Amino acid sequence: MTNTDRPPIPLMMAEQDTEVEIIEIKGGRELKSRLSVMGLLPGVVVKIIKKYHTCGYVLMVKNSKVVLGRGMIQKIMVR
Amino acid sequence: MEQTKRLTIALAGNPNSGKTTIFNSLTGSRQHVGNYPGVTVEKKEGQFTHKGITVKVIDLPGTYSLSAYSAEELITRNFIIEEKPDVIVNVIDASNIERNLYFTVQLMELGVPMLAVFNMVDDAKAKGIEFDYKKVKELLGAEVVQTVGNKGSGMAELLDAIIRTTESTNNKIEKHSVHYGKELEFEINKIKGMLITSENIEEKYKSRWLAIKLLENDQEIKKTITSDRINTVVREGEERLRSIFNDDPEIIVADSRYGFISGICREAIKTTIEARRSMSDKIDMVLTNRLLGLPIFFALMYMVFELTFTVGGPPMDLIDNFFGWLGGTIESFWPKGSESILKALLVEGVIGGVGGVVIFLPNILLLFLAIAVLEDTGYMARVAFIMDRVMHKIGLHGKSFIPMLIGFGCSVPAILATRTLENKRDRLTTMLVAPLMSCGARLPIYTLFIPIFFPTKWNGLVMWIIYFIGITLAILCAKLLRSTLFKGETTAFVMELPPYRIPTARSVFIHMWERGWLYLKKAGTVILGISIILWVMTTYPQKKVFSKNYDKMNTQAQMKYFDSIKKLNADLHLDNNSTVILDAIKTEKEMMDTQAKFHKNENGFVKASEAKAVKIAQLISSSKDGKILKAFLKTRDDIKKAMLKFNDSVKEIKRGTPEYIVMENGLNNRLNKIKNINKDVYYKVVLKFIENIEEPYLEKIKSITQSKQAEQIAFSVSGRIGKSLEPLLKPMGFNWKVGTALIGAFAAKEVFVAQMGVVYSVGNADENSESLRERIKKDYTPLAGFCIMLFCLISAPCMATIAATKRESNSWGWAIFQLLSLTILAYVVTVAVYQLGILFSIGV
Repeated sequence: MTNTDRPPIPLMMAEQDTEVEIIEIKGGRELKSRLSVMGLLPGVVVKIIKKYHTCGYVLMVKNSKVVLGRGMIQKIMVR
Repeated sequence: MEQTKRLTIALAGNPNSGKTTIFNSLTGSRQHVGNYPGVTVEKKEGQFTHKGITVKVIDLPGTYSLSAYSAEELITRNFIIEEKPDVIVNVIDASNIERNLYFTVQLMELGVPMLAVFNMVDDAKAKGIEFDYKKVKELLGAEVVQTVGNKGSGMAELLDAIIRTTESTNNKIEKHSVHYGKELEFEINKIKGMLITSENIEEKYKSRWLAIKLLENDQEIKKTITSDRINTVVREGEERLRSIFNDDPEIIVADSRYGFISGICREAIKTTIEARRSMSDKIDMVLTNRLLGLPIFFALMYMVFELTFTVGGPPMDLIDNFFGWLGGTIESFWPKGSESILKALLVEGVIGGVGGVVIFLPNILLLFLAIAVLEDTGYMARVAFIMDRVMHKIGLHGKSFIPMLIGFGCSVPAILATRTLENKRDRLTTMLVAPLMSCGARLPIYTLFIPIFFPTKWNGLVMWIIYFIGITLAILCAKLLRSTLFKGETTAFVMELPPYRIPTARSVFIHMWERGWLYLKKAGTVILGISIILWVMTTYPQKKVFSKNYDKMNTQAQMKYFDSIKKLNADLHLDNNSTVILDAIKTEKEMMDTQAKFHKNENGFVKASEAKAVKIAQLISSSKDGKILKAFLKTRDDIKKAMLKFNDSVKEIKRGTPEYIVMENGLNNRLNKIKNINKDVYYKVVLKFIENIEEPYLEKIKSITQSKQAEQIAFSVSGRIGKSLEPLLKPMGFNWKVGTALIGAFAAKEVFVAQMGVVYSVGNADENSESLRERIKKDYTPLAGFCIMLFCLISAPCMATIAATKRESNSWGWAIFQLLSLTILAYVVTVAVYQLGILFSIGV
């Protein structure tokens, strides 16, 4: 699935029901840290369970469902 | 002996790991909820005894990490470090092991005595996850217990393991900790070495843990390090690591921890079944469905609202009746009509005030029952998600929606419901604006005023406008607060959607009861104090000399009454100077005057009615017109009885409904019967007596009493305040009477109507009393009437709300801020509306 040649895209652009690898999180240290305790950090593979264009995305991260608000899904770069 | 041994243990772990269920199973009902000093995070404590050892249990807030980004994390960390509990019981959701172990690994690094509880092992099994517990125990360096919290299984093993862990003094925990890789370990060891040689470092921190935290850029820990030398080394280390890994050190630390956890999972966990769509996913497909999600949510919210206020109704009536009875009982300790200050204070101040608070208890219990169910099932997390977009736009969190909605019923439970918000900024904003959602107690004010000034077909619209203004102001205020006082990055919306679970009745009820009890205890004491103050303010100073001679007015009214009775003689074909009827009425009045001095169960009361019976009998037998008198009295009593019965039975029925018509027909039938039996002549005269003579007299007496009361109120502190506020009230179009009523409205908004009734001195000031409406109409223009409603909508919430804000924000500061800012807002808005109205001559 993951192809190292492809440039990273924002999580927002990723397809539903696909698995993507987090490449980078654009944000401050606090934000990154907060995300990391939820298991969201570079190198982690997440599955996009459902995309709600109004509210945000539901992801499967390390066996738990996590929702990300709209702001977040633009800041996370995936491949 | 072990008998005297006491232990302290703390439960820690991720949110939704079932910590509280374990806590409830361990401690049962012996628990105590309080607040950590200065923050709104709950502190739950309880205790149990096992094998003669008393164990104190602390349920720490659920956290994902031991960093210092949230109040919960900081509390958990500080408690573990500073209070040094004998064992940390780490509750782990076995079905979601990877993320849960992230917290466990941090506990291991801290080097505290730990016990790992693999909770919900049944869920894990269903998911096809199997553990090699021997291996897990080895890798974590801690005892491992399996439990199913909601079924209570594994609790005995847990108790034994707790005791065992405290007995084994040498902990092997430190041996097993994360290895962070060559580069990080180099920096960690360098800092660690400096920390050990530095003497100002308190020994409560493990130096390795401290070194890692410093590299993780933990602000709280960095504050404790004053040595420039160490700070420089940390900074240099950070830079070096950043240049090697091209990322912040804390991310590398987190990454290594997850790597270590993956290792544990590989070695000790076997997943047998391929992950399939779980029950939880299926439920989510419906509840968070794009189309169905919102309608289902609104339906559920409607049910919560209904449950809180409809089901809560009957028990509220019961409580109301109970306090009425209590007041009556206490009153009976004093002779009837006594003017004892203590009696008035107890009955009007204390019982009235406390009753006014306790009456909300059914609402609050039911609301928290509903919230507990929503939270424990996992639905609350979805609500926040569904509503986040809308609420986000006004600067609030998705979860703020529930308190705002509850606010339409009553602000007090609304403010209590802000507890579900984790972020302090969100919580305070919601708390401060919630009273702008027009509560149920303000409804009587609108129903009194709207029909006075607006045509019937506009009534609904005006009501809607009032509510809409409240909502709009709430949104504007929330935005304003978020961009000024509670500025700051809107919390990143990252949230776990826990799997759906069936809540246990026990935890739901414990939750409900805790809230109810807190409400009674804390808000009750504050409100008791304020209601006594308000009572004193409306009662004192007492007026001794009145502007009019009310006694004389009473006597004059009575003379007129007697005269009118005499004139009935002609209708009854009696001599003009016959006094039979008058004597009988006078006898009855005498009895009533005597009885007013006694309670119903006292001797004097009964004696008076016996004396009356004897006298009336004498009148009937001695006078030549006795027969007429007898017939007159009988007809009168019959008619009154029929009317009383009718009034009793239509109390709860609306005029014009089919039931009402049935009752009305019943009354007419009964009256017709009386008419036929006693010959038309008595019937007509009696009706004339009741309607044209007796009723006007009673009304007159009532209005005299109320005028006297009104004069007393004007003389009292609150009346004087109302009067002295008049210059301030003028720009809004209010007079001092409204001012006085507003002071009463602070006790409870519904008091406003009653207070208006008293200051306007008309009897029975419930919302439908026409005469009050007429008098108000004379005093105010429609514009002023609208302004009064507007002011009541926005201004100072009632004292119960202020008390609730004080309790929930843990500070008088915010409560007073809420009181003042809402009052000022109300003033500004009302003045603006009134002045603009005048300017454009709308509604004047």
